[in-house]
Amino acid sequence: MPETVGITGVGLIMPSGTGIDALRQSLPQSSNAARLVASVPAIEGIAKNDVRRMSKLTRYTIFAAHQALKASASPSDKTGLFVSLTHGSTALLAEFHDYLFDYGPEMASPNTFSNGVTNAPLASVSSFLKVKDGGTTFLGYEDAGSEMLNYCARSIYDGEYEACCAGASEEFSDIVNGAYAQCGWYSIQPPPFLPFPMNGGDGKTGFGVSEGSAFLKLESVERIASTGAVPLCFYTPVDIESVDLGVDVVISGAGAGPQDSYELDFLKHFGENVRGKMPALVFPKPLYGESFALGSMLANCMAIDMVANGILFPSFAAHPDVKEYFGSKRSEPPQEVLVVSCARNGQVSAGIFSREKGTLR
Amino acid sequence: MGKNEVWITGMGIVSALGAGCDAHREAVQKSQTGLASHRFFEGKYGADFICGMVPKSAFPPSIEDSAGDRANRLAEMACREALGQAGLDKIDQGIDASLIVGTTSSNFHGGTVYYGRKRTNQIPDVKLVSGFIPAAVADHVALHCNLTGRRRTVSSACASGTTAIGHAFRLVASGRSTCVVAGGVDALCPFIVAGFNSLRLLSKKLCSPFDANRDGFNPGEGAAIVVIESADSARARGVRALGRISGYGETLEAFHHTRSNPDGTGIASVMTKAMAQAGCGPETIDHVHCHGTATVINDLSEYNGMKLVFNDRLSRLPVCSTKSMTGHTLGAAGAISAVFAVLSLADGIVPPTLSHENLDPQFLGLNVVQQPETHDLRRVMTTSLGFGGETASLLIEKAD
Repeated sequence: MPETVGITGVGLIMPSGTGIDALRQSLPQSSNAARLVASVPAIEGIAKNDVRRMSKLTRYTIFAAHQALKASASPSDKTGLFVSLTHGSTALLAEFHDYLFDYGPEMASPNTFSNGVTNAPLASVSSFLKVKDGGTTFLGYEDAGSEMLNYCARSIYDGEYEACCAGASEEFSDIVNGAYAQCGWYSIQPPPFLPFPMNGGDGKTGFGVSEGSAFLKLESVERIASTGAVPLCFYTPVDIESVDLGVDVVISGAGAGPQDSYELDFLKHFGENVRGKMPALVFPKPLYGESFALGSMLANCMAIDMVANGILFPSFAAHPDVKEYFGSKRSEPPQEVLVVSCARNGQVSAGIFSREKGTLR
Repeated sequence: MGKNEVWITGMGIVSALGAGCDAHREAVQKSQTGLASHRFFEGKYGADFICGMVPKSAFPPSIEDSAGDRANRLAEMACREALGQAGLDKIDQGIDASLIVGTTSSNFHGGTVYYGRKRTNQIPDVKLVSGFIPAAVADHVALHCNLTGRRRTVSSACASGTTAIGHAFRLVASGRSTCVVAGGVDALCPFIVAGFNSLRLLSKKLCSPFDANRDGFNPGEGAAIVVIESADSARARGVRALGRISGYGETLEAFHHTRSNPDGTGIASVMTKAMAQAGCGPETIDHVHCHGTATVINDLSEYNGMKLVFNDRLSRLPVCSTKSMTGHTLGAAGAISAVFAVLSLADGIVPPTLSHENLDPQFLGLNVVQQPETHDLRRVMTTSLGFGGETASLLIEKAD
């Protein structure tokens, strides 16, 4: 039986703006440089002084979570809270260490420490937005947002929660960007912005780093039925070993980075087993840059925009090894979208967004 | 939930008390502490802190003591012991088990060194970059311990180890997995010591949980890993249970972004959830292995929570905290408590709460065990309170 849940709210902040529309606003601005959020709009009910103390990462997180909860218009009781991160607030860590190195431990800032710890974004969302029925911070790589989403969907299915507010965040900082640049990853490359280095690349490229936060409110189908909430769409985690579903679109997490060899393996496997119609293949990272755990959540938001709002995102030329399996253009809004996210350590997470619960096979 | 009976079939632990379950069992019986004064920070800012540092002698020759990725080494040591106990260490083709690691700061020490070199225009070792990527610990452990399943890293502040084991329990109980390796790890680093010092939460003496004169905790480091397996899988492999996990509860207090709610409703909620899942009531609990950090607010929260759950029975319920033996090991603390709890069930001994001398009068009737005590234990609860109100509890039962 499919472990399907409904999506009743989306919250998003990214360099191009806020809300799910920001995904589309990115299109004309697509570039391969680092992309930064210019400012975070005021968050209803949270004092400016409290916001000022937060890291950028926490501000993004609390904004997107608030937007998702508000959009869902359903109660926040029996709701788990999950945040997925790759690096935490490294800008605040740098600030803390600057004082530590220059003035010693007695001058270290308690505020910087408490806002810089790994679970600070989740703790702030919980305390300010009063989400309190359990949850945790998932720490991972490029697939961490989808890994967390699958955990949430399955936990709802198992009855651990009736709903989950789940999202991912990333904060750009010189410290992380510099570290990756030293590895040879995520350096700014000249156009064209294609995933899978075509020139026999060694994976040491990658798109410019981006930042922001994206949250979804997931609810059990039973709760949706009882509250009369109108879901934007439905989501079902899938086991990658048995993905042989016919879907309209595949969204890949390939980003010309170290995860691409795994993305390519998955797409080959999928392409060889695909049933029926040829899906279109879409790569969000040329549009939005690399944002690690957040990257997979942006892909999930893009899938929601496709099935809920009928948006057609452009396809990009696929790698020659998998090109034959995928159609490049679609004229009709997709009914079902598969999102696949591979991490640099080879872990793969995937799920399907569908317009109707009943259309899932 | 509750499809499968969930067994613990292997455990590994390393802390300031040394490496291995036997070292920890002996420390309990002999009321030993691993806490000592250590110097942190260099030059004119050098300062001494009482903390629980894993001694160099605890590292086997095959696992080098290394500051930059110390959390990797600690977790690997604990995992190797756990897999050995579970009889999984001799499988050449890879162990088909998922891994869930709970951590807060993991290898931040590497990040500190990396950043320190960077800001003085040196070229830091690129391997230190993993200090900014907490998930790297799970990759290291999976690679070096031959685990081929999925890897997950969770962070619930000082409840991280309990959360990791709780997630593993859910996976096995629901039938989604047959075997999951889970636990917690954290290594001492300047960020943690200076950070908690800035919050005025560190004690300058041996910490004294639930004591009238308690004034904070001693930071510590360590790792504890358990092999969590369905009873059917373990029986098929001919492996015995060391203990059974029958309940897990977690909550977010939504009270304050750093502090616990002193009214104890968070801790009461997670204990109640864990008991409900196990299908038992508070009258069946024989012992609580407390978080017991010896900070003013946390101990108060914990007492109030236990009072709400156990009422008058609290005075007959032996409780303890091992923080004055190991220090507060943050992300590892919950998993370390779980291992101590299983050892208590097996040996019938409640660990001592070292340096607890005068019960805080607010904690009326709290039965804090000061010397190792013999009890007939069937069900033990552990509690974990994290920064920002992340709270969790495990219910562990004696293996038949």
